Amino acid sequence: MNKAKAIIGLVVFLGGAIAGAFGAQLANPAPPESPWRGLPPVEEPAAAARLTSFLLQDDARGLARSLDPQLLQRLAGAIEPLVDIDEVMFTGATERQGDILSAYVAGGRAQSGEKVIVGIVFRVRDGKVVGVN
Amino acid sequence: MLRALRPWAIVFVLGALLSFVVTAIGGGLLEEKAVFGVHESAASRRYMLGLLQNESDTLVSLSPKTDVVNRAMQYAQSQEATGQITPISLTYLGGRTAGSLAVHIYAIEIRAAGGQRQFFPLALTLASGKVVRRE
Repeated sequence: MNKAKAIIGLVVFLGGAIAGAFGAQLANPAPPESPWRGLPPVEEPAAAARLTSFLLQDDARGLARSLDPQLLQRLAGAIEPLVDIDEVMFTGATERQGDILSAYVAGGRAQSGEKVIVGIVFRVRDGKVVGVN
Repeated sequence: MLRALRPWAIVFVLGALLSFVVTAIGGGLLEEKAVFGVHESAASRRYMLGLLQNESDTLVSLSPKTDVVNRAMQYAQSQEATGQITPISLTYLGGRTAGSLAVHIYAIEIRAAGGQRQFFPLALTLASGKVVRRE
């Protein structure tokens, strides 16, 4: 009798657990469908990967050699308010008519010491970084 | 009859609550550590659809609370932009979550009013489900 009760209790508990997990999914709905197509992903371009390694190594000279002043200015705007960069994670890239957009999320600390993350996107054409967002 | 069912109901509710909390916290941690990659958030996708379809109500609802003049400017911008672009593609390039902050990045392809195609990225930063930065 006690064994039967324990089994029923377990089944009821598991039923509740399934209902709870389902409820958590409902509370976090899936994104709505996009009416437009998505472009296929491409590999991370080497030129953009090189820049992210300069960012991670805190290599200002390397960045200065790789980007013209205008793009450096844009990169400064993109990483704002980060002052210390701990990590740069490649999130994805796609291509359209020779232009590759390579996306990253950089994490680190702001001047205030607060932990922040920012999005950076490099535009690569003919193996060179030609734009920063 | 109801009294007999009460203990089972309590067990069911306990199971549901525990599972809800574990799923919510565990899901958030897995997302933050990007264990299975980062999934696009519903809020960021709704924001992008609102932006490309000029739905100012959606944009205002997903932006931090602001004064009436700023909201009016947002409506005016949307009205001005209506019909000026035709979206061609919208590609999610991934993102990352850290605490209450989330970054989601998109590649957008549009045809502008003059007929020329434009292909550009947009990174959204969300804090507590609101878009606090867009560039």
